[in-house]
Amino acid sequence: MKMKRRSFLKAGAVTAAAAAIPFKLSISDFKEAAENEDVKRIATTCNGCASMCGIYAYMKNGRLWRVEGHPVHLKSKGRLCARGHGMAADLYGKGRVPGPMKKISEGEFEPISWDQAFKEIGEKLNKINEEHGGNSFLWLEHGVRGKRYADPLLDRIGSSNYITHYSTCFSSKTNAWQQMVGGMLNGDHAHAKYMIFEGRNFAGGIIPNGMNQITKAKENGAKIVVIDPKYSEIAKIADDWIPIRPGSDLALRLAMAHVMISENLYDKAFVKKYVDGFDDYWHENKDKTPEWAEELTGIPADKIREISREFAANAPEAFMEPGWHGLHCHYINSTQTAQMGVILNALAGNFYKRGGLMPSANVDFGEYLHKDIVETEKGQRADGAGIEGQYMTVEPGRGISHTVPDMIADGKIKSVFIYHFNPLRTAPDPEYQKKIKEAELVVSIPVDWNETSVYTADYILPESYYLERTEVPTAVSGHISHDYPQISIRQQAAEPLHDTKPLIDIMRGVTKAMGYNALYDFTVDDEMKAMLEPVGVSPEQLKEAGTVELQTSAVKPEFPVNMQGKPALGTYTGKIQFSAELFRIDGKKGIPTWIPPKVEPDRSKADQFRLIHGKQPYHSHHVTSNNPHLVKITEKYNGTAVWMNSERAEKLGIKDGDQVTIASDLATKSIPVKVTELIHPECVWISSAYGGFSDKLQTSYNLGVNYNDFIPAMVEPYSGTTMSQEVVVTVSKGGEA
Amino acid sequence: MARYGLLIDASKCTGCHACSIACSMYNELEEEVTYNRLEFIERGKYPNAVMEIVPLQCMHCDNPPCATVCPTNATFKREDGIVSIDENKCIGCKYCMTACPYDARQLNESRIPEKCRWCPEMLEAGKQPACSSTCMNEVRLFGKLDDPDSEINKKMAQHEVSQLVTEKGTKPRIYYIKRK
Amino acid sequence: MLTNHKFWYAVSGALILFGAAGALNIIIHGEHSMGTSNYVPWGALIAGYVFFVVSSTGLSLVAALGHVFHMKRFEPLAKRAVLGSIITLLMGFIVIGLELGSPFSMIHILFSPNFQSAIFWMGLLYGIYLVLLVFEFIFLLKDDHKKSRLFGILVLISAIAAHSNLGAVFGFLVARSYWTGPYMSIYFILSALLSGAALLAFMYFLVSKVKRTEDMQVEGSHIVSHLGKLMVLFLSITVFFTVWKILTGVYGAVPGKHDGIMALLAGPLSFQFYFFELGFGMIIPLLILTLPGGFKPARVFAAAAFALVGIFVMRIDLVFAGQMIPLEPVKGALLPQFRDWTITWAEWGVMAGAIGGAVLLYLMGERKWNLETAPHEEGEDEKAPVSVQLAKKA
Repeated sequence: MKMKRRSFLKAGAVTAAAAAIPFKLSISDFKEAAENEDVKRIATTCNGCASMCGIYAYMKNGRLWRVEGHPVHLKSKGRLCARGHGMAADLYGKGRVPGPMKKISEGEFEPISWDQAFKEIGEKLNKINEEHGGNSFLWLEHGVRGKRYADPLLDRIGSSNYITHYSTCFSSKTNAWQQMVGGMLNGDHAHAKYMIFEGRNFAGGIIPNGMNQITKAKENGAKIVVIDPKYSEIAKIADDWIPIRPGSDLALRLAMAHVMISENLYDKAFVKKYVDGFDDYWHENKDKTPEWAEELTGIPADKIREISREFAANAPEAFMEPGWHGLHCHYINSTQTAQMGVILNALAGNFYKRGGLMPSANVDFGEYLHKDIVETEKGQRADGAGIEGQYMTVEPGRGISHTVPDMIADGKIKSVFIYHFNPLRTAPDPEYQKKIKEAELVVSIPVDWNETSVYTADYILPESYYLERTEVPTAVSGHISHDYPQISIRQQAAEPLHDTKPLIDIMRGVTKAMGYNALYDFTVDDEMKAMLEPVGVSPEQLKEAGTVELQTSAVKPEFPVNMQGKPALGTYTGKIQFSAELFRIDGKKGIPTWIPPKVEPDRSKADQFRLIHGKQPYHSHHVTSNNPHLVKITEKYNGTAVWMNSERAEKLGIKDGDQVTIASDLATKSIPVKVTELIHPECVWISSAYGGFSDKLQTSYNLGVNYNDFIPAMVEPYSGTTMSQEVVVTVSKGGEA
Repeated sequence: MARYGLLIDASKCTGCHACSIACSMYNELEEEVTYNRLEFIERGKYPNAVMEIVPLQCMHCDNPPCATVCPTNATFKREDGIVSIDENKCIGCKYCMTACPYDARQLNESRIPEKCRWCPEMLEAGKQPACSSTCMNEVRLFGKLDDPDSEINKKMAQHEVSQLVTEKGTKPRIYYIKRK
Repeated sequence: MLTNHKFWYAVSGALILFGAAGALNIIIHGEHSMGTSNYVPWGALIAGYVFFVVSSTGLSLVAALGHVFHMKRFEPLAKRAVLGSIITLLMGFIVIGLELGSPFSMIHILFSPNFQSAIFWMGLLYGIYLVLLVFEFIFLLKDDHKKSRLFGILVLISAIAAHSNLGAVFGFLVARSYWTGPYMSIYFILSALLSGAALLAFMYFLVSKVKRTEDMQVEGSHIVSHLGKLMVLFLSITVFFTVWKILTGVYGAVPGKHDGIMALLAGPLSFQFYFFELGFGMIIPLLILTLPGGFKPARVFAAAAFALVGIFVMRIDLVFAGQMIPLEPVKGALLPQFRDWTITWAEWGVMAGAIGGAVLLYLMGERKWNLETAPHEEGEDEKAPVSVQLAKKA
């Protein structure tokens, strides 16, 4: 057969049509053949990253054909990034765990029935809880999606240990914003006249409709400034790319505030009315001049003045992108850098302003009332988050995800459930992370044979693919500004290919085996019904539409005030607090001021660099690195290469395409180099996607290297993050491919 | 019969590659085949350096060298301007591949040089093909060149446009918006 | 050893087996078993095909010297040259058949021809050429000089048409400056003469040796020497063409063309260009032939052997130099300096197998037909070769 690619010909359902199709299919026949297909469209949500864009999944003869962006969903608006397409195609990928597995030896597993798995896990968990108490149980996950089904168990057995991946991702930002603003706002890209993306690659970590708004705003005359040591994808559409010495962003932000305050460019009326602690801030930072910052950032003082003035001149239709991963788990000063993000935006008076920062619209879901509501008293958190004397200032809701081996070694944690999280690859120091296996019971709930499952799990309980499961409705919010609230739903488009289950069924099975018969005595449909009750949308309507926009409670460009007309943010004073209340504890300053990075490359050494990383627009960090559709892009476009400034490369005798060796105290690894003008000379950059070492994932295995190989597990003192760019490496020519 | 064209605003492309994979899925392409690609250019010296990205795919030339050289007329120009392939007639001589100055052809498992087909069924339905409809930055705009009220014509009137490899006489039907 | 025809059967058998394995691999695994890519779509088999059809054309052209243009000293060549021409053409067809993705779709050349396509004309002209060659051979075997001469003339015309058109297959490619223009057509014809002379000298020397051990006399030494002289002329022409190709390529720095030449002179093709194309293909044979005593049959044979290897590499260089320079539709794009290509074992196998096939068919032809040429009746101004007289007596 010529037409291997048109696999639909093989499907039995079109035998009649196929009989009419000639031996080889010409392009003109394609249309005719396509029209005879049995194509179904199911509205659901993407899982290419954590943004959960609305999508339409098109099923052709029972197989996934393609996906497209949901036209209503505020994040996709009919458009999708490469990840969204690739993730869908990987439904049929080879890396998926085909059914429940039990470890027989290091890296070796045998299939086991669900009943047997539930029975064994339930018994072991009961035994551990009896011996060590329920607080020795840890639920470790990417974030939030599993919480709904973790909580009943955590509450029942009395464990406070719910930890998300956020300490490896962006906790410095959420922590600072929570303490200073009481929540997070989003840039109103569509209406902005001036946007600063500092350490924020909006075109790498993509919200498709957000990018659409940014490029449209630019067409309408908005100016885009990108400050990043690397020419990131968003820099491509910037009016100005300002490379900055990595680790010095705090200094730049302090100096920008200095210009705005000393030149009286800030919004005084706004500050007076809505800001607490302005004088303390200024008192503390009067000496942070552009000249002072030039020394630290490498950006000319005049350039700092220029962008500060432009920023102020365009305010309030100007903002500094609040950002996510970019600067917010990278350095010892990341929390202060995030704090300065709040302060700069406040000085521009752009909070709750069109073209500035706007809140997400709210959805008031109903709540499903659980039947089994017995709660057991919980002990202290094992990660120390929020505990005086430990990590008092770290958000307990997110926790510290990258020191689990310590918690196990200290005897605090005996059993671990890991849900859609792969710390062996996405947290620092994989050899250290491997010690998670020292826990008495490790259960991983992934979809694929990720490193954490293979090297630490005693049991692997594979969850159904996102296209194979239905989840409760979610409010669509975050990242970009949108006036009306939206709700969307993830629902099953394809029949499960393998012996997998959705999380709720897995939890029901495990807990029943533990003797908790009513803990998950409900279905997703029960929950959905209860949740949608007050919303005014029926489950049927939502399932049909996938994403629904509610014409209620539109957000307005108004600063929240209470009955007395006083500012009413969720902070201690109701105002934007330049001094974070919580950060004053332990003698720490609540006000951000300069803190130098923990380590610096020695500029006199030709081979020393800071190792920085970033998100490629076609990979979701390591999650998609085994996706052959996306790795095809990696291979065609040299995606695994380490970027090095051409001047530095020349001094080291390194040429574009050469194999180079990167070494830190922890690891020595070798990859090809991309020699370029598009990166700061003092750092080298790699994508966060690669370095797979699970030999059960053929596509990602040994593909490229990962920044986590080179950094020890450190804890940033304020927000508990990994400080993943506090690492100096040496780079030399040569090495084995 | 409509005359189709494609206008590309390369300055807006941020290199996410969604176009390539959306196309591959829509057209159910084999793993080795992609109908569109991006070319990257670096200009300038650090710190005043920039990157340019140019999306490329079959230009559906008005004087298509691939069709001229095809011994069996397997590649032919349709009335609407789309350069199409009758895979039945293809002998697999790859002459079209050597003739195309844009490297637009990709050999499939059946040893037939495929290429972007401009998804006429979408254009006829007044829709954008997958490469365009998925693009967050609206880099591509397909449309009717012979309809003065079409969006593509309106946009082309607003901008200066250029084409690639015009010196080879191919008369391509993809236009690129010129930016300073 | 070289004089034992069993040895040649064994060699051809081994080569054919190798070729069958390569062909099977290509049929099963398609393009994956070939050293081509989307950027270098034409592989070694195109070079192999060109090598064989150039040989075929060359043999016809040299044969024509005798029985079309009545250059007496070449008249005895006719049958063997025409047989060789048919055989190498057939082998060329087999090689290109394996390079084609869907050779059976060739039928559409008849039903849906594109008269603008040089490959259409290639198919048509080589088809006609093959038929005419077969007729010429039949009439030669019948010693029907009139008709064989008529067909000889037609063969000559069709050979030139088909072969210069093959040059145009490359020359018409506007996208690839290295090939674009009339040069390729002219170069193909003139280099065919070298191929033909070298291959005939090589064949004739061996045939006469083999026959001699079998107590059969074949007119050898004279003709081989004459062919050696022809080779000097054709080698000189080839040198002339190569020099001007290089000079024009280097001089103007035309994009694509210049880069292709530089790939030969100072790039990834330079070793094979200097060592094989120039060394084996031109300099060594010229030296062997022009030093005193150069036209002794053994020397001519050696020169021909070197030249044939050089000519083969020349075809490889020609095919790849034209493709390995990346096209640059977007000026300044980050592209590799050269596109990768390789020759896989399957491709070597097919080409070796075609050589084996050619040897085997030729041996069978020698066995089946009497390939000695009877003298023309009119104008016996030169003495008939001894071997012919002997043959007549027998």
